[in-house]
Amino acid sequence: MTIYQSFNFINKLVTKSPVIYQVRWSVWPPMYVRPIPRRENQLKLINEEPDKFKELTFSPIIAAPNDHNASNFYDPFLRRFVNVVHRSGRKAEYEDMIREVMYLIKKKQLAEWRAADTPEKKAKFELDPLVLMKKAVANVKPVVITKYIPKGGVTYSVPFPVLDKTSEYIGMKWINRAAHDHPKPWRAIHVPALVREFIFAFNGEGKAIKQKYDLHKLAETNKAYAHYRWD
Amino acid sequence: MLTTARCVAKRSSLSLLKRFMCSPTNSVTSSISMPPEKPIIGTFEPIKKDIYERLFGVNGFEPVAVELFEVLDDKSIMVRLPFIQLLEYIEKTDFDRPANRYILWGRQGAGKTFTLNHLAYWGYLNGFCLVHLASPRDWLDEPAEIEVSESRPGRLDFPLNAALALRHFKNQNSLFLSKSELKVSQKYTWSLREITEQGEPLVNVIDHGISRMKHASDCYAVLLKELKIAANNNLCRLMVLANDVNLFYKKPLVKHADGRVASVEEMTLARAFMKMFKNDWKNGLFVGATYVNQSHWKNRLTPYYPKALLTDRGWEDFDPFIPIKVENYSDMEADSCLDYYTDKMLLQRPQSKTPEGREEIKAINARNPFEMYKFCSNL
Repeated sequence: MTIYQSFNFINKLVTKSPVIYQVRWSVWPPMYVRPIPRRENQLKLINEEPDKFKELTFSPIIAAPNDHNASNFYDPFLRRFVNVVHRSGRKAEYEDMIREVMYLIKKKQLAEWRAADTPEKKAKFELDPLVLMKKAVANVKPVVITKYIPKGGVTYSVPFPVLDKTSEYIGMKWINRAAHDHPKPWRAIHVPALVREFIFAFNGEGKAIKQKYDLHKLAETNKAYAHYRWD
Repeated sequence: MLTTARCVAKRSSLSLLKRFMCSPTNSVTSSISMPPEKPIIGTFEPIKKDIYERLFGVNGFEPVAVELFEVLDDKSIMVRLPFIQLLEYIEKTDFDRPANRYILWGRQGAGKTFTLNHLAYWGYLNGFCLVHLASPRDWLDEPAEIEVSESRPGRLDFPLNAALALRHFKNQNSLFLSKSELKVSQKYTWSLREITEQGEPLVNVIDHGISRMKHASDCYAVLLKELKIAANNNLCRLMVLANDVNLFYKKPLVKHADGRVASVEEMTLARAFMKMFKNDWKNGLFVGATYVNQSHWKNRLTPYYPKALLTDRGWEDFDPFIPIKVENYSDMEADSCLDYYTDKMLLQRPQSKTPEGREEIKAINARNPFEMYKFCSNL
């Protein structure tokens, strides 16, 4: 797989028009307000903007998205990651898979943490799987991306700035793809592979991190084409 | 995350053989420590490593529970109400009377197997002779090897499973066997040249079964018979523990060579063990735990009452028995369990240590021990 092929999806991603909250074709009348499913956000609104809260109290509300909930253990990061990993809309199944990944990460880290003899060695381990996954994705996030711009019969890959949200999506995608990069049946091996890739990415190693460095290198070499962004 | 497939892990013949080969030696080196006089509900009783290997090293806890011990890096069992009830019953028992039968019943994941194994641990410390059947599924559904019996034509032998059961018995009772002087009550002829004479020690029968796997099934049947006789003669106090007893009363999956489904009566091991269900012997007790699968929403409402699980035939076999219900955790027990998980680093998410998070864990899982572990394992 060449570098150009592997970055193809970024191009598709960036050229796609941004999704705006639907107004014209929405089933909800315009007076309906967007929901605030999380309890902490509700409390924030009550404490900081009591007037706005008073307005919202008796206004009709749009139904909350069905993958939100008010649990203490709900995490938007995990939801985003499931959205990246899942196939054919089978989100519940893949949520279970991610839970197993988290369990195995914790099991592995705890075993190694117990085996470490000095406190300095122990300090290196991150035992909370969610924190580990977040840091791993943060390590993989690219600072800059490239896009294909055709100019005079030649296609240049031009460095572009990237939004934080997009960059996180790319990081998740790379980790998933690195785990996915083995022959069929991938579902049986995917869970341990994901565990391995997360721990690699947390320590700054592995395929996903290499992909980030490759992209940065490409952007650096093609710095001279940067003006094609607006010309 | 812990799928049901892993709960009922398929035991291949290879893994059985591996367990058989790797089982610990039966050296008597451990120093016995007595548990506290009055166990307190909700406290965790640690099992010593050498005793754990002797009692449950070959067979005992389910794979999920073994994994739990591995993750927590600690092997301990919580003292629950049914265990204390059992101890009270045993205290009041007159052992000159026919043996009492106890049936542990309750929802899936409520802790029936753990209670049974806790009693096995207690029995080991208090000098009982243990006959412990951890998974009858190995005999009834997926035996490692099937052979036609030579001594009793028409019956099926499972040599590898029988040898494993004998090894399990020998491991569990190594301390008891070294102290007691149990003798064989009659002459047994295994083949032309292999004979166990009357008055030889009972260990010879076990050793013969382990070394000559072809006769292992018969040896296990003889062992149970001899133990019954010894208990009747006040030579030992017997504790028979059987997990998943209701599996004996369902249709087995084992088949004859011609494709007929074998009945329980036709399997040497199962037939011999089912004789312990009756109370035609004294100086001992029988404790059985039921098995019910409620892991999926499709079978969430399957009845878990002993009448439904044991069926009419089982009910007749066990009647009269003492039912002991194993309930989900009480509020105090659930708190104790969560404290234990926090202490052993299983709970890592900061939200899970707040009062609100703990309440949520308890409420979502209905304080079911297994469900709570499943939920906590990824936090």
